[in-house]
Amino acid sequence: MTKRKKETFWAEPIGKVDLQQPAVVKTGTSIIDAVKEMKYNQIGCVLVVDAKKKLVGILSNGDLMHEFVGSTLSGDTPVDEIMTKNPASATPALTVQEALEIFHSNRFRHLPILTGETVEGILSVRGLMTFISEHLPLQVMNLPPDSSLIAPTVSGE
Amino acid sequence: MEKKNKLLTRKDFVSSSEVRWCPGCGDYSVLNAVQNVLPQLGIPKEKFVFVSGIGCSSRFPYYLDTYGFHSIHGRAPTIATGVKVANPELSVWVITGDGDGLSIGGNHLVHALRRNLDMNIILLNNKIYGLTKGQYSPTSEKGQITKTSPYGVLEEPLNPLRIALASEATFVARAVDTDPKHVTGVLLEGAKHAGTAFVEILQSCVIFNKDAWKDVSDRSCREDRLLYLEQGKPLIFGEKRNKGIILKGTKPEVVMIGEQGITKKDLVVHDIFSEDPVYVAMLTDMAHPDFPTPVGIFHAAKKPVYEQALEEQIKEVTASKGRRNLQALLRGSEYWTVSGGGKKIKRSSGIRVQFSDESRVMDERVRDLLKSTDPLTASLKTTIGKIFYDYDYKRVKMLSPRASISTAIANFTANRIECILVGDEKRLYGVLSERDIIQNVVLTSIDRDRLPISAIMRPIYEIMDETNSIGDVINILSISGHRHVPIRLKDGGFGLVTVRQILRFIHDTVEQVEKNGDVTRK
Ligand SMILES: Cc1ncc(C[n+]2csc(CCOP(=O)(O)OP(=O)(O)O)c2C)c(N)n1
Ligand code: SF4
Ligand SMILES: [Mg+2]
Repeated sequence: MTKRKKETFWAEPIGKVDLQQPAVVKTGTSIIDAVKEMKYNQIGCVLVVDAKKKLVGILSNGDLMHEFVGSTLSGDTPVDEIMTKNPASATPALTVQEALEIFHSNRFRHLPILTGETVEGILSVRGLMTFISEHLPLQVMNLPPDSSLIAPTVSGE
Repeated sequence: MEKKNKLLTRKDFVSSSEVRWCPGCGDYSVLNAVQNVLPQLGIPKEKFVFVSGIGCSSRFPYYLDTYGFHSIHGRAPTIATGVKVANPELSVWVITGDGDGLSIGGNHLVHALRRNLDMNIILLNNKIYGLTKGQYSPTSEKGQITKTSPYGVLEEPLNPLRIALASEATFVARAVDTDPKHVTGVLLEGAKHAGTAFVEILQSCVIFNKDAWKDVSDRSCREDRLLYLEQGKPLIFGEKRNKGIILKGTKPEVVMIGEQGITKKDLVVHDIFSEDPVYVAMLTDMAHPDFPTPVGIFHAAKKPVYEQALEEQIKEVTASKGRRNLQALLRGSEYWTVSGGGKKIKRSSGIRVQFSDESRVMDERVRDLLKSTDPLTASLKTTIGKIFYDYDYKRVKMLSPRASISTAIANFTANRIECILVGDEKRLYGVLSERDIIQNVVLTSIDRDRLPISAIMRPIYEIMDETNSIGDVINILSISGHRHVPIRLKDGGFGLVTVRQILRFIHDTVEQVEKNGDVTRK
């Protein structure tokens, strides 16, 4: 990534994107309770924090699929055993383009955004796409859902 | 002529039609008031037209010996508009009810008011449909028991005066049927007003909503519960005229004159011409039991009258373009020829150049936008087929709806995929994501070897084609809130575009653009 022009929205801080409310559980929480928390918050991952509320891990649907569903582990197992420890995170100063880069070179779909040790929210691939698409309103948002339906002439003729 | 008008009396306006209103109905007193007002206006009898819609109240024109039109439900304001525009010399009166004017005719009333023709609208508000025997109306109270609300009305009632004000009415007033003298006074002022005069009459339907206004209109308590608004006078009420209204900020408060040092000077002075919207809104919001219910003229304003403005416009345009006639227009040279089963539409040469120029400019603007030179925007027009193959995305995993959840899990873990399509070569039944599996397997005790995935899959929101553009996909993903869209492949079967693929596409495009040094986005 070479130099970016400041005025482009690629340089906008991620803080401007609508972040998702995270689901959060304490270390030692059972896998079942963590999944309940995800379901309740309608989000595809749950953050795991220690007693001092410091982020120590993240558990995603992908982790659950690969580490739990096919395994012999019981639902009472603490999340710590299957979560991704010390997950990647970013600050609200992260730019849109940097976020794009991160999702491009990693498999995960959710990136915790932290100020110091406080969780601000979750940036998801969906949230990022929506943010980008909202900056292309005419071309993306204000069109019929199928480009073959775009009228060739103005209405009324 | 002058002399003859002076001779008109109430009797001249009494018709010989049998009156079908129930004895005791409040409509009678309004009819009397109107018959009192008309002779006072100095207008020849043949110039009066009363237009009504449908309802008990709308039977009004029969009982007046004037021209009248018992018209279409809710459309009295519209027909009256036509009458007035066609012959501005007429004195046009609309009679409507709370049902006629605010349910079926709400839209017509609003637009007549904002046009401001020089006419009068009387809305007889009995908070019920009288004619049809007692169904609730838009002004019926919350909780009111009626034939159509046996357990109580659930909706908020409309306040007709607030509708009138919101419609930019230039004369807004209210009177009570039990005080015909006051009704007469208000109607007289309304008739003199240049513009549409809207008067709500609190009218009692003695049969289907007997007590609707009893609390404020009953002679025994009226003085204490009504606030008679008088131009330039302080807001005073009460049988002993010892109560008044003061303002605390924008909130009204009832006070006793002579108590706690309050004098008449402290009271709010009524000004019908006040341009302060808060003041008149405050008045319309006041009602028994918390306040006295105001009656009289709430608001008046001098504004251009529609029929005059229209006449001037016609004069002006005729002066510059000459008089045109309808037959010439209909047989003229401005037409479109439709052929080829409606597919071919051709504009005749007579259609003004100016018009087609305008639309050409618009067309070009649309086309410019569509073929934007901005690289990313332009790239969004890339078809899915293109990214699908360029990025070498594997065709998606598809399972039959009868496949077991265990089979799906095995597929998820072996292939590192986000989502499985449920269906066959020809038909898609649903999609299954990691989330659907996790929530069902972890939180419920299903038999994953026996339960088919059709039991937990989600229905398809939309299937796109390979010829759809990336922009189309982004659009659908944004609208649906989903993370993937199934794609019908040209050579059979289905694929899947995910949000991640879209982001990857945007990422690559941006990178490409930067490499070419073309990063400035206008
Ligand atoms: C198109 C149509 N819809 C419904 C009706 C039935 N209808 C007749 S009068 C009326 C409502 C009258 O209410 P309102 O204007 O308050 O008159 P009121 O009888 O109370 O004076 C209705 C719904 C109708 N006659 N025509
Ligand atoms: S039904 Fe009610 S509104 Fe209709 S005429 Fe009788 S009393 Fe009047
Ligand atoms: Mg009614």
